[in-house]
Amino acid sequence: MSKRGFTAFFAVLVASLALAVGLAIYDLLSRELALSQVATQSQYAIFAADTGAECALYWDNKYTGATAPSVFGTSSTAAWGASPINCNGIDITTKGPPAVDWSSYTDPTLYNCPSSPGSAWCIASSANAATTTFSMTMTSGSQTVCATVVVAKVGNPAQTIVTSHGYNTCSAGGVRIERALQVNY
Amino acid sequence: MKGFTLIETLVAVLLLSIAIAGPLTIAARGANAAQIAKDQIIAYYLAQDAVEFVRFERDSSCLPSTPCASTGTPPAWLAGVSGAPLTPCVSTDGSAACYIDSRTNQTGSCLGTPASCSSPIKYDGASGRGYYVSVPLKSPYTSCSGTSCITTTFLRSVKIVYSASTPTEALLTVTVSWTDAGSLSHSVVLTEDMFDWE
Repeated sequence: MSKRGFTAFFAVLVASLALAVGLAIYDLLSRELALSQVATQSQYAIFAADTGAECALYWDNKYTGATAPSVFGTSSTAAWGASPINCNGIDITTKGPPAVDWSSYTDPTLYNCPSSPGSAWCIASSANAATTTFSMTMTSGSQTVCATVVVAKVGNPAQTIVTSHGYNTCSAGGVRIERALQVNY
Repeated sequence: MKGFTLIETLVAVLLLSIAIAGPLTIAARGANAAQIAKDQIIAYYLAQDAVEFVRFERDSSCLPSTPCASTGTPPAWLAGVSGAPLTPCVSTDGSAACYIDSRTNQTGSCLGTPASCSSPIKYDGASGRGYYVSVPLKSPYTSCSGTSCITTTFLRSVKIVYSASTPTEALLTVTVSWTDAGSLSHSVVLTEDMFDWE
């Protein structure tokens, strides 16, 4: 039996072991880095959600330009909200495709509008309840963040539920984080 | 036979040196990545701290006993509670920037002297009592000193920008930036739109 090649064999063995350990450490730490970046992205999402909620609160509380009790829909008789309603310099009543408004949702059983980011202002309603959905975008550092806000009003006097979904990016793909805030009053 | 052993040994030495150098490089890069990850988490907490402080001031200045006003320069709802601490942060063109020490309720312009936004935040390692800005603190607080006073690499500045035509809305931007061991710059920028809804 030949004994040649043993030194090289052991060298390869040790090399592969060391490489395996090194790769394992690297993998661990690169995941840690990714995790910390996700944490930061999560912050972008929550503050986008907060911006959306503040926008809804402001226009629900302070808007005085309409005869309707609120700028947001309250029932099937709700009037189309007076445009423009600006948040961050963007008219949220017309922002983003598809350009739908509440008149597209005459079916009273259809309570929820499309809630994907980019969907436009729309009101879905029944006799004494309505849901208004709008979305907004803003710039956070070098990236664009989005919020989709659903303002639901039920009963008379109305109970209001503002649900704001914040996203760290406006398009699908990559690491996409959604965080939501809900305000009841 | 001896010649073969020599070549074999040379190959073995080459393999081993690659085996040592590779993982060492990887480990060094990994350690660097871990440090960046740690800094990034600290940075976003620092940014969050400033955002929460501004929101606290905004909310506190709009209590039922003292209703908000969107008039004035800056608008009253943006100025904050007694002493209008947020005034140095507010502008219509983004020219104003300020520092915030949330633990001592101290704010000030970045543009004055000392230019605190360009000097790093300090950390009191003795008490573990959070971060201090690098300016003389108001009484009864004192800036940390001695060996437990750690000067971090983090810089933080706060900007609040509103439009004169719509003083009911303002954009808050908190920038935390730092330089890592490899002299690479990093930053975490948090933005939020605030409204005078209260």
